[in-house]
Amino acid sequence: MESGDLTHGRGKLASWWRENALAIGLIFPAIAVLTVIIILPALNLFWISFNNYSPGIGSDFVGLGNYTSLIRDTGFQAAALRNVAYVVGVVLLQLLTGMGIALLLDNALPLRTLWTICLIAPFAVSPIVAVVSWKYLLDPSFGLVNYLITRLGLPPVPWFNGPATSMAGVVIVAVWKGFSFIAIILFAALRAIPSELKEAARIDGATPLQVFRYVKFPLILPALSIVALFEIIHAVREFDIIQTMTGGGPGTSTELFSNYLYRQAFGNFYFGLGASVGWIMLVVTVVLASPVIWRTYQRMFSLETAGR
Amino acid sequence: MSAYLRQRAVLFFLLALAVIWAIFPIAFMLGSSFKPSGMIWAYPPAFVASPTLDNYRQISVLHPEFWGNILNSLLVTSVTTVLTVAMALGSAFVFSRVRRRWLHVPAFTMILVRMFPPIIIIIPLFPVFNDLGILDTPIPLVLGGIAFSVSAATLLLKTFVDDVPIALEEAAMIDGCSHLGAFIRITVPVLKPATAAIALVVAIATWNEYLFPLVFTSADARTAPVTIAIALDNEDGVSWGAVMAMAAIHLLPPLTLVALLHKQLVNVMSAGAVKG
Repeated sequence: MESGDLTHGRGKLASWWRENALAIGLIFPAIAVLTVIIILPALNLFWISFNNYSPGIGSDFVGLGNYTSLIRDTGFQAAALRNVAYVVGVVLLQLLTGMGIALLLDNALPLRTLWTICLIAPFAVSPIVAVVSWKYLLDPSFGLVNYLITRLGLPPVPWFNGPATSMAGVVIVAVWKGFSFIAIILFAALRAIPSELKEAARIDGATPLQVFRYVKFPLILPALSIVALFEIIHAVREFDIIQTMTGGGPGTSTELFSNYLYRQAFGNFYFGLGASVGWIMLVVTVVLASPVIWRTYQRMFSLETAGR
Repeated sequence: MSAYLRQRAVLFFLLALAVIWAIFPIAFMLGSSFKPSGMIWAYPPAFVASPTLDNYRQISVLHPEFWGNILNSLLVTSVTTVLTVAMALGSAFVFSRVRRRWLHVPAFTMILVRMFPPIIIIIPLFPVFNDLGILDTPIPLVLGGIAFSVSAATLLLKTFVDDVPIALEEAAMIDGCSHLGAFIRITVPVLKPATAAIALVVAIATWNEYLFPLVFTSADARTAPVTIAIALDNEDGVSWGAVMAMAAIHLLPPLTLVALLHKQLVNVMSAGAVKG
């Protein structure tokens, strides 16, 4: 290679650098944090999941050992099945309450701003504060909920006494914390529907139910499927509410993937076993989210005319 | 007309139910935090009659560390929010205004990593933070907070940058600004409402974070949610008065900000679902 080519190549590199330095400099901090805090640890997690690893004690390569012990562990099987049921139950209830409330708000109402603020409030509440509020209401001996139930002539519910009542408490808090986000987004989607469309349907004699079925629902479906997906992903990783409300108990009867992972890793110091749960959660999440990941990626650069 | 009235009555009844469902649990908790100790366990449950600050004084007796924890929460939340928003503004500018093939790589990275469950990093990073001697400092909380907020904040902000005509920036560039200078002087001020709402979402997520402080702190750098959770988990019986007072203090800042910024918040969140 002639030395002229070399300097020419260097010149190209230098001019490429000059052209791209600003972009690189501006995205570098974010990408650096993502790499150090998420991407490298996620790869390391994959490696740890093939080892019997306890920090400070040692590490042995065990191949798929952690995954096979997971599959054989009845505690993990139960947590996995419970997590599936939890995702279906919680997300359905969240969607029903969220959509119902969005439809209520989409009416001519006095003081609508005030009602909107009230209905957004749970979004601001931390999981732990939600758990404090609801645990006080649900307390089996002095709680307001049981008082109201007995006033209706029904037997009091022994909240947190067994697996079913504990899980019910968790589901109530999860639905209460999650419906706001859905209601807000669907309310915005409903308001974006041109009012002529609804008017036209009404003039043609459509009942409110038909207006919903044939006009509103199809038009909010894209937003609905996205929020549903976000809530599903969130329900797969649920940790805080269960950890602070039941601690995964009684026994391990309300544990989901995350609580099982936490107990194995930070209770028993089985980091390898915990890592295999983490890796399973990651794969499940990415598979479930792949439609949104792909759609967002395609849209991001399809707007060649952005800002023009 | 009576059919119309009946319809309105049903509507208002359902709305009342929805509003009660949404705010009664926190309203009752806030009210109960002012109950004198005897009333907290009263059955039938009592509503506040003679409010007192006893429960708030009890915090200093039972959980004196709580005030320091709140300061830690404030520190971690403000640093994380400022850094995340600054990084997101820079990245959003690049993704919206710069056209280069290689940018697909960082963009796809952000879109993918945004979905990762935060719990997966605690196992690999715990030993690393331990070796670095930064466990029980705010550093892991800030880094974790940024890592799990910056992608969503960037992608969301980019959709708002896209809506600002680039011609405005070009006009400033003719007057001698660099492109970045024009972006900061012309576009960033236009984005203020969206940026404020995105900052609020980041701040709420960080303020409410439970997992990272649970794992990465033990005393000095602990934030409020972990202390409240420990107080709620007391096997010798929960001191409900102090627990609710702490929860009330922790709840008030995000609740106030959401009430003040609700319009921008609704706008930004729905943009995330519709455009993102």
